[in-house]
Amino acid sequence: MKLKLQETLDAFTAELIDSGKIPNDIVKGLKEGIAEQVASGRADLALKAGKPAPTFTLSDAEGNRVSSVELLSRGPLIVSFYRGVWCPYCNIELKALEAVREDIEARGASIVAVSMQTAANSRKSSRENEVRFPILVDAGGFVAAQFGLRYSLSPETIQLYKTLGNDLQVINGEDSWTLPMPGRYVIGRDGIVAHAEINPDYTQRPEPSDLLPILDHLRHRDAA
Amino acid sequence: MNDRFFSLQLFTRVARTGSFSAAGRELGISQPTASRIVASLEEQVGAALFVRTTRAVTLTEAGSDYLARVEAILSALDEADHAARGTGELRGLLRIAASTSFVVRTLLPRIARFTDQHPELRVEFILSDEKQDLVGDAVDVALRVGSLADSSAVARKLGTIHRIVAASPEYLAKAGTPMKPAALYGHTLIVGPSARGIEGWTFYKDGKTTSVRVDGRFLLNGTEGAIAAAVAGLGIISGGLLGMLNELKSGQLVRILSEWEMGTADAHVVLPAGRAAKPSARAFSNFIAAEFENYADAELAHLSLK
Repeated sequence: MKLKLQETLDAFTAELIDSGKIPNDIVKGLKEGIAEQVASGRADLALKAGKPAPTFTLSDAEGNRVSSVELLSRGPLIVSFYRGVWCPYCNIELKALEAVREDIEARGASIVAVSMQTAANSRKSSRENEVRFPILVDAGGFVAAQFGLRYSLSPETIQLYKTLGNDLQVINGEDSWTLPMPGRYVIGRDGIVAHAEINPDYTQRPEPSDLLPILDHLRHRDAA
Repeated sequence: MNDRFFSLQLFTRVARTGSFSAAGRELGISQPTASRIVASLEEQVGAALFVRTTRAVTLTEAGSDYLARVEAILSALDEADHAARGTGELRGLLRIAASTSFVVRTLLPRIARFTDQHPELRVEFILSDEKQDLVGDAVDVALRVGSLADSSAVARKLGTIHRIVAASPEYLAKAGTPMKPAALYGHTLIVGPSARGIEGWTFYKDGKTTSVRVDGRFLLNGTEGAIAAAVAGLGIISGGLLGMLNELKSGQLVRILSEWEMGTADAHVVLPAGRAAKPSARAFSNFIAAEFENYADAELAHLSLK
């Protein structure tokens, strides 16, 4: 039987720690960073269901302009905020979302990922994860900020990321050292957020298959 | 008749009732007499206190200011009389504003412990699930859950009420029990007055925030009605745990998604500012604060039960 996304992520975490690929003190530092994010209550500041979603037009990895308004005119829109190609958890999630993309499209909906990384890194994300939905370039994280997701990394986390070779200044092409909290939104055709799930703990992601009953519900509602 | 104390009492009643005849009736004088006494008070003060139209009597700006000061003085006098009697017994009329649900479920079953101590005290309840205007409605004390918009009020926190989701066992047997918030889509949702402005239910667990848009099928502008709808098996309701405590205890409603938090709202007892609180309002607010500790315990006991 196919593993659920969270089982895959948990197995990845266990392997990462057991294999010793990442030194223990760094694992400890990363865990502390997550705990601090969770304790901050920042997730509660993010945009929630029932509110109008900010509209946006961003370039995909190939430079084509993609408009949320245009996509919503065709059906519901799933927006997944993605930290970047350097984040293995995000890549596992992208693959899992790609696995349900056809089920999403069959329900008349579309899906995009939004990331602060440069177009070149987004091309790499698409290629390596075999993703066939757009990874949009949110340079400087302005769209992430409108959704209430963008936050500044702590000096400790910045140091850890540098040690791990995740230099966000290079990857994102700007020096704000900010990232979006991982967040997944379902926006209805009326532009109102129908569902939102935000988790500052990036090792935890909602099951992509959970999206399908939500899209079924929206289709049923819009047909009524 | 042209006694200053009496004319001030009359003035406050005209201000509160907006009518010379109503205020006159309360004090046992005719409308023309009431009108004449107030006119003579305005002469003494040297300012117009009311604007009189054919339809209404409203305070002028000077009148509003005068009312705030005079009421404080009259109330202090009342209190002085009361203190001199030294019995601690309260009398007169106490006007309490609160939601229907809170009064019916929490207050009325307990208030005899307070009113039995004060046989001369009359209590008027102003029941509404909407927030009330403390000053305009001449309320002596109000109980409110949620944010306090009225800044000209003195609030004292009573406790914290947890929001939950619940449904009847019959509904759940028929429609299934949602095991996570995302499973609420496709369920029939009941929306009461406390949720009407929200349009989304938010759930918290382990730092994660999940919110679902609420397309309510049954919308009710009263909490009691919303709870009755849930008991009747019409759908899933979200509301304060305290308001549903009886139904949860009796099993008419079952809490669902209980491993998720939905946030809390604070309950306050509020005394209007700008005039001194009546002794009875202060005593009532002490009484209810002490009582609330017991309800909070009951609520917490129920929370840990689930």
